Amino acid sequence: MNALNQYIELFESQQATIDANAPEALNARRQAALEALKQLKKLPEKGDEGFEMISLNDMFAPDYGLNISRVHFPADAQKAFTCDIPNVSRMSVLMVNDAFVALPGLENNLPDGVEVMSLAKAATLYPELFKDSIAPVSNPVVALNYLFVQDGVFIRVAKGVRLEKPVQVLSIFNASAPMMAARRIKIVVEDDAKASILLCDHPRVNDFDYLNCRVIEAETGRNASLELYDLEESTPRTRRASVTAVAQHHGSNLNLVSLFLNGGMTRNEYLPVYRGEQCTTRLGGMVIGGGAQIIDNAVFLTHDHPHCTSEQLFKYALFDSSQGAFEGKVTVAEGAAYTNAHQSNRNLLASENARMHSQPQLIIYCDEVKAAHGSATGQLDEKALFYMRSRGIPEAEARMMLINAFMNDVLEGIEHEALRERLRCLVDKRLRGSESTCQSCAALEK
Amino acid sequence: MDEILLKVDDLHAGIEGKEILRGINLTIRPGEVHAIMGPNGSGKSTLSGVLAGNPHYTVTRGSADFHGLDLLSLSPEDRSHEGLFLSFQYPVEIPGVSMVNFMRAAINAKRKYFDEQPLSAGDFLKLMRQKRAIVELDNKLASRSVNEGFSGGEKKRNEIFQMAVLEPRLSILDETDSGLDIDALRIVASGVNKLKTDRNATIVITHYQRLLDYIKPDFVHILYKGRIVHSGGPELALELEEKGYDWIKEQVDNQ
Repeated sequence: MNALNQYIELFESQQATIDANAPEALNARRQAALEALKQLKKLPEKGDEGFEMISLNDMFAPDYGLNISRVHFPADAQKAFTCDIPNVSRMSVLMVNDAFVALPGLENNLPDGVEVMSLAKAATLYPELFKDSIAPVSNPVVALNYLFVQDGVFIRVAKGVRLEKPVQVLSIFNASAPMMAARRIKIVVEDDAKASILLCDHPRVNDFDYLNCRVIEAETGRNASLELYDLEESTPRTRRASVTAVAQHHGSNLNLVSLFLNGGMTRNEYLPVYRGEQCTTRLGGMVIGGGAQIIDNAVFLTHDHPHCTSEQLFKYALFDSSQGAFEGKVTVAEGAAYTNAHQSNRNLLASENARMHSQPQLIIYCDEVKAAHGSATGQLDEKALFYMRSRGIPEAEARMMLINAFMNDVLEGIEHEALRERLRCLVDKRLRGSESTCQSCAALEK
Repeated sequence: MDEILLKVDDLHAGIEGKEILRGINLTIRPGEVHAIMGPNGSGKSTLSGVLAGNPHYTVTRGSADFHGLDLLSLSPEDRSHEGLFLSFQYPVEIPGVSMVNFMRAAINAKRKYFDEQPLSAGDFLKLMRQKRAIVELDNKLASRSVNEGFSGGEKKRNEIFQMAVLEPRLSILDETDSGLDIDALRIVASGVNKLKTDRNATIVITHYQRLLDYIKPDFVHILYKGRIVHSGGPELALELEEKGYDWIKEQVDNQ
């Protein structure tokens, strides 16, 4: 079945309703998206280049509802939802399906120069910010998102403002039938500013088939710094197709850590784009897969400005019959002298039925370059396991400690300490199964 | 004394279908130090691995009674809880697992096994401090990953440190002298001697008599082709040092 056509048909028949419930700045982009999709003819399927484990066609094929008339879903945020990462941020917003909901106290806790608001509102207030597309509309996930997007979250940190504490965006689904949400998050970190943002995808009690079609667009100004933590802890019935595009201006710094703890089928694409020299890009990824989960991370990065440094470290631990894929393509263009590009993918297969596909690629058209890449997939070190057991550490505990140790350097990449410890404890909980309690969590809550 | 700590009876074991131990008999009582010596390939490390429960080896026949327990039916972790300790010939490096977390997990697992509460942070640190002193282990090693970047001597001292913490009833020291200079050897041996009581016992596995100058054995056994072919007192070690293993090999091979 061709899933693409059903979305094109849906859009063409419903365009008036979609447009009527969305700001002009978002509507203005739909036509280009539609044309891009029509040119594609079909969504990528498993086996197509770059899609070794996952089929976007299958992901989008089921008949999901889209809330284009913007029926309000009640979200008594405090009652309906408790996050696994409470108390880290006093600046939290909730995205219910694709709708923005400010959590209590948000306005009062935002420092001067920091805006956190509904994307629809921002697109009305600042239409000029939505003219430039950072995410390429030739990408099917981006095009599908542009076609249907009506709301989302907008975050802007003004020039020179250093925001040390993270802004937290919690995304949940709330529906009474299968649903798709075209979520958009737009982040602007102006010159010399600093921002730390935590995105959490969380499950809900009423569990239907959900499709999260998400685009994150971020821009880091001159010498700006952005920490972006992207955590997925959803349900096996959730599918997520996500594209994160970040435009980096001169001297800016991006630290992006992607964390998968739970979900169903996930495709994340990370696309940093250089718009200046002397940029630093650090991409970290951690996947703990289980059950029949399929998790696919792809990074496409072109060094087309001199003196930029990029570093990628993606690690997977796969249990049961879960499947993982990592595709990293780094291109160093002619003229991008003094590029420093490093890419590493390390994977642990913790079960006989788990599968991993790893494809690191490095394409270099420039001489003055330092670049390296590597990939390794293996099993837990049996010698270390026996050594630990011989000291009395039970096998399950020893395995958990070894997997934790394996993931340690990815978690070390999280600069915000309280957040790092919280996430460390979530990883611990995930590896132990949900029943156990985490002592470091209890300590943090005091 | 009549109490028996370990009684190994007709133990056969091997690896991937190849038989290495061909009928080991060994009886160890509390307070005793046994040295097991033998040429390369005689099965010394296999014996220590089998007793500690390394899943690499398969036991094909025989039994081992460890103070009333069927040792061979216990998991490696339960053998540890019940008082068996193996000092590894090649201690394993575990990047990313700190010595502190490693030891805390080991101690608390044992306490849990005996239905005791986990050790408090203060008591734990105090215990670490006390036991470190026994082998003069540098405090800075405690914050590092297990054995990672440790020198050969530090690794072996770390083994004896762990032994001191876990207070085993039976310690097996597998080639603890290999890779040690004379000073490190003295420190390690003195650590072992400090931990000796009349309630625990030690098996010292070694190639050379050298270690036995520092850790005095009560019994010396010669392992050859998977069997203990000769047992005697401490004088046997000296005899081996003088004459080598050839006379034993001849004796056995000509039988």
